[in-house]
Amino acid sequence: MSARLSLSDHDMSPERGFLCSYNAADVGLPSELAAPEEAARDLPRTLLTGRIRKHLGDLPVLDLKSFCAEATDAQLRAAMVRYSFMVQAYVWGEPDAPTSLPAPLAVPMWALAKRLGQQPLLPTRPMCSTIGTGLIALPRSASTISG
Amino acid sequence: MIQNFLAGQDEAWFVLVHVAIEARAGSMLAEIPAIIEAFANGDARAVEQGLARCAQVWDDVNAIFDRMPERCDPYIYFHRVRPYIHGWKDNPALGAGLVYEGVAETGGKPQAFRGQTGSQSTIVPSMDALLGIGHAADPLRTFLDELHIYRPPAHRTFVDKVRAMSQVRAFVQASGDANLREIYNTNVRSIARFRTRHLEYAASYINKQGKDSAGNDTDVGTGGTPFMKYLKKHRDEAEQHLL
Repeated sequence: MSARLSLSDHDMSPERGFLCSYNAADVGLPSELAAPEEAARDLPRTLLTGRIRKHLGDLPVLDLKSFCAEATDAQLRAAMVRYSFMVQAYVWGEPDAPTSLPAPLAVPMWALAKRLGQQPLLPTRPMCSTIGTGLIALPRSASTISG
Repeated sequence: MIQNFLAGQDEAWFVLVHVAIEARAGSMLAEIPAIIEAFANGDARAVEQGLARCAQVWDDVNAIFDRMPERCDPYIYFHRVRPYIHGWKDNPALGAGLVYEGVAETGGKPQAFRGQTGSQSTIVPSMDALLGIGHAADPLRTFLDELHIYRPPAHRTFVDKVRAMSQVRAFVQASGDANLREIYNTNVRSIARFRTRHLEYAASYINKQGKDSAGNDTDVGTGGTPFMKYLKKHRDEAEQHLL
């Protein structure tokens, strides 16, 4: 039997389990990612247009090699959240499924997923990294969900 | 929330319930190293106390899970949230995968990946591993094993280590200690209860909804699985591990 198991060796904590240990809303991305970040934030609006593929297909094709080499783990995960939501929205946001994902989404998605050892679409953990204020307990009252 | 699809209360609540469960489960996962150490030292009392704390957390986790319907309506979930979280492997509209343009290493061939699913959470696999709950080797088990690569690498190795190190089930069996057996069984029942609730939600939030597109099928899970059969089988197999 090997050494004692430790949660911290496995990117886990007693307070947050398998969730990321930081507040996702506090993570800033470099300016080269401003356009995709804004496009991802805009999804609730652009999905309604029925032309989401045009919106997302016009993004620049970013070569994230240096970002992947230099970014913190939190930044990598934040970029993964943005791109994985856009990839999902591109594929399922119009009536018929496409046969391909355009380079502006495919290239950065692939690079980020590979760097993080994850698959190039939306897995559960990025979905659970969308809660911004460190709000990790359900509100008891009927007050508005914030963050 | 910092990122949404369509946004709105139902989508937010769906994610929040997942997040609240993940966070609450942290203190249960934190018991695992001590429980493994305790059984290795033959300390039945410490194993019992650790499992008792896990059982308390399970009650909280199950209570959180029970709250899903409060603000996530099944119709809204099925038609406004679920359509966006499907993958492209074994999906009726896109089973063969998607070409990732400009990604040289794919050679222009379609790539198939499973969509996000509650089964990707690492909580239940961790507790299955601790308690020695296994699932029969069959096509459904293959799905479960395949999901393992969709977890972050550090979480995968946690489950693998717990499964390799934990002989808690054999320890409880061999102890002849009725209290220890009872608290082990309480944990097994809690997992079964969690799986039962998941099965009920799958029925009401998906299976009983009206299909509106090929990609959003009422019988195929977001992970591309025949989920009703799958969830029921794994619930039943958990219950079979009562001592």
